[in-house]
Amino acid sequence: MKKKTVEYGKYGYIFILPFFLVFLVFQLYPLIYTFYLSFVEYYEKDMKMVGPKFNGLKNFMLVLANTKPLGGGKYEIVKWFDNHTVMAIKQTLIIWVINFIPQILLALLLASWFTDTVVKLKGQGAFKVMMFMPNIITASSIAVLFYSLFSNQGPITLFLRKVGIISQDYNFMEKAGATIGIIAFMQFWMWYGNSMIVLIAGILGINPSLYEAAMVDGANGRQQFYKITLPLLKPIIQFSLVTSAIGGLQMYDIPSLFNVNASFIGGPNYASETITMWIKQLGFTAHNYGTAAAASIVLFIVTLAISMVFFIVTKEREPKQRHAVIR
Amino acid sequence: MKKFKKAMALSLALAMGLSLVACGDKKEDETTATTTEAATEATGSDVTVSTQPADELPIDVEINDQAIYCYSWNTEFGERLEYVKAKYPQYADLIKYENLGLGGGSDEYKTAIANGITSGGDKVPSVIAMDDALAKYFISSDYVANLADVGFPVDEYKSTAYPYTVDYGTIDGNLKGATWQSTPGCMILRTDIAKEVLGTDDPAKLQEYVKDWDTVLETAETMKAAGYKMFSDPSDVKVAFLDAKKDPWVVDGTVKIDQAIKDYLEIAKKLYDNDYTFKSGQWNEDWNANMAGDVFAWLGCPWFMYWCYGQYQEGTDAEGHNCVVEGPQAFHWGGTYFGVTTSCPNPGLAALIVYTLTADADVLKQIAVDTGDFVNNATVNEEMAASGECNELILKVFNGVSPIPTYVEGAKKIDLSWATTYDSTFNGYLDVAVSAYNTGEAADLDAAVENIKTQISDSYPDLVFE
Repeated sequence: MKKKTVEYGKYGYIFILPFFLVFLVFQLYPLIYTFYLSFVEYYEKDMKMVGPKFNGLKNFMLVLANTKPLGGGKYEIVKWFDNHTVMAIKQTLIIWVINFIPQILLALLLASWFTDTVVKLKGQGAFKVMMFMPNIITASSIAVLFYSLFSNQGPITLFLRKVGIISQDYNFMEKAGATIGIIAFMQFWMWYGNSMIVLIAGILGINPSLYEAAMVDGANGRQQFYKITLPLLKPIIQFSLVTSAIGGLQMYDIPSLFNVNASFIGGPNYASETITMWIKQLGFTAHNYGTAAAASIVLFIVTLAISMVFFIVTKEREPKQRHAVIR
Repeated sequence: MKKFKKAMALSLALAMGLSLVACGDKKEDETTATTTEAATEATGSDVTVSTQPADELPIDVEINDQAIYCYSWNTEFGERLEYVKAKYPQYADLIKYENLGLGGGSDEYKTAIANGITSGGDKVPSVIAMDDALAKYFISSDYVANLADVGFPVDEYKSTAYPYTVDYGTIDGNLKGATWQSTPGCMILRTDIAKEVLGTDDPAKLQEYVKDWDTVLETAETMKAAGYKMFSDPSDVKVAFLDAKKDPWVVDGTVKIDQAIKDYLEIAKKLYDNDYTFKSGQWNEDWNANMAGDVFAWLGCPWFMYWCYGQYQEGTDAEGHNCVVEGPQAFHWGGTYFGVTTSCPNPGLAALIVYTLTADADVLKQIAVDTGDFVNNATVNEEMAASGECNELILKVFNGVSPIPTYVEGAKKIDLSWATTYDSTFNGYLDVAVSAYNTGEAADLDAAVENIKTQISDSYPDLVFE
């Protein structure tokens, strides 16, 4: 006799269906369309759209090289890797690096303090909330706040001038280094609390008996940190590194509201123009969807390459066992 | 397998992240939006329209019973529509207003209007407001109808409108954009500072101190010695130099860097290096505060008076201590045009709205008196210049002296033959070059010009340089 059972499996598919629909329409399709656009000529000329017409790798040449038009759709390459797209990627990477290094170091330090079983810090909840707080404020508010603090007649600028730390005509908004530094600081300030929470979760996931065993063996705090916490935290740090790199390369909201002119170009002299801001300029101001898509693909490849490098560098190297261990 | 999973997870994560790049953004234009909002708050929605209702239609059009939607980026057009509704109460219910709340010159506004037209439906945009910076773009498209085709009396409009507004709204010989306002530039001077430093507050004599740009720099030196600043920011003078261009930015795919652009770079550098300004930047709180502060001169225009200058001086010691002179050069600054779309379900009513707001002398005069705007009707303006009639807020700012006669002179000299659809973008590149040259990042004038050229060729790889 056949036994009747209720098939629950199909409900699972129904529950995950909304995600896949949203993913297909809003993520997979735009992604494929971006790839398609990067290989076609598609731009606005005299207010009429030209294209889409397949033009091979020309868009990539235009976003990766400094070119001179020769007429008839031909270009002379003046110099490779010497134009705005490449410069914007470099700039974005620089801002990300100077924000990420202090961010992960401080997050590690705080995470190890908060999880220290010997010290047992009081009021941990309050500290964690305060450190996580900047992450809750929207990035645009932070950018506007910092702009008003550091602008030419802003309170911090005026104070530093009065105290004599900066000269009387020093203006943060006119110095590329200062602008990039402040943007990196905002990113750091926003995200170190988040990294800290992730790392705390990672540390709490480590088996406490390892620390107990180490203490019995007489290991001090420093040794415990370097020999137990760090190696076992590696996957979590790897995760933070890769997600932060992906987010960092797409940095848009803070630089696009901090030191920009009336046309939303990152100043001074394009110093704080990140790659996403530049892609937007290409696509929605210059209305050249082909080159904008090609620049997006370049960003994709750079992101992929950087993530891959991080995975390879931080890969677990398990010693190969040449002989089976026989007990 | 583990490797595959990792690679899969990574590529999915990247796909998720990167597809966001493809999405547009809504965050920009916050500064513009705030300025606009702040400005509208001041003028407020407390419009009291005293226009008498009219029974007969002034133009020969058929009006059906379909409601039409008027689109703009802020409340201003909505307030102007009240005049139409008051004059033609029988159609008041058919006139709907959509305020998109975007930057008037922004790419988002362009996209929103284009999407609204292509997707159609009940709320299809019928009458659209077009910012000076974007009007060329809109009227060049096939979405915007010839005003003659919808029954707008083009000849009547042309007979009183300033020729430059007609030229600007005309494409291939067809008028497609009409405006209610003319925006002649002028120079606002602070009479209290003038009296103290230059010993006179007579506008005719003060004009001698700002008659050309060299004299402006000399006066700036005098102001500096007396502890005042000539302008608030070096880029305050930009609007004037943009109108001094002889060549358009682009002619047949060739980019031209006009001498006026180089002149602007040079004069901004002098204003910067010699500390003739507060270096406040523009459209921010410092800039607004300086309007009642120690700044001697401002480049202004009619809307600047009631949206910015008058508003930020209200209740301060500076109020009433101002005069208007022609300044070193004629120019225009901004403006809003109207276009009627081809998808409008009730073209007659659309034509009536545009006619009432741009060519009906009674309504235009009412607008001028109520708001302080300078309307696009030479007859009305000359009458008001002769009679001294003017908006109360404006009179308060200028101590009872109407600035309209100065506007009338300025409006005659405006020439916009250099306008192209590239203007707003390229002017943005110019801003960057100016600050780079000011701070010394661009070592000399050639480097500053090169800065603009590089940016243009990176954004528009097909354009060649002369």
